[in-house]
Amino acid sequence: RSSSKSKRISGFDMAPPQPTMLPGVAAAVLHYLSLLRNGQLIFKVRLGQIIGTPPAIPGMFPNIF
Amino acid sequence: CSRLHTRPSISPTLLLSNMYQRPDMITPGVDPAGQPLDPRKIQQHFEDFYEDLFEELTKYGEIESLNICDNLADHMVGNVYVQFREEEHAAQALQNLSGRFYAGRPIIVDFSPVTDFREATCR
Repeated sequence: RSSSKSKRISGFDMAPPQPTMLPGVAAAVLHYLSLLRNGQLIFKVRLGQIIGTPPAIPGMFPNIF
Repeated sequence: CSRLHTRPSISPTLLLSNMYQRPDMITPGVDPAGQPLDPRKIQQHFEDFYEDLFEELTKYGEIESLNICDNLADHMVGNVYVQFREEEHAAQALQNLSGRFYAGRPIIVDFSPVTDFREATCR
């Protein structure tokens, strides 16, 4: 094969694409923010992936104020 | 075949497991996006893969044979067997290829007991 032909890039050392953000961490942070904004027992989940019922005991929320 | 293949501690032959993935591996003749694939493109893809492999492997020593499996069953799919003239060259290649990637996938490399590909059948 002619050496003048432009060389295609080899597949060697082609690393897998790195995720820019860990979905689990993002979900946890957003979930926590929604609790802070809306106050206790209002579950305004925007992620569409948090499944389950709100905690029954209001005292379980972190008291940050 | 029991699929319990032996892994010798030294051999002139290396097995690179499932390294070749044909572009129409999900559905024959169709790419992963569902578009029909020209057989010439599949052939070109294979030749590029073969060239990449050959260029990398010749860095470690003289190659006796280079075999790429294209089984349609799930067993041994994409396995690459490379036999070097010298065991020590195979050992160098093993050491150098371990932990690296090819086309976004890790390279899984081990010694293989196969030394005569005419006799190499799975029992």
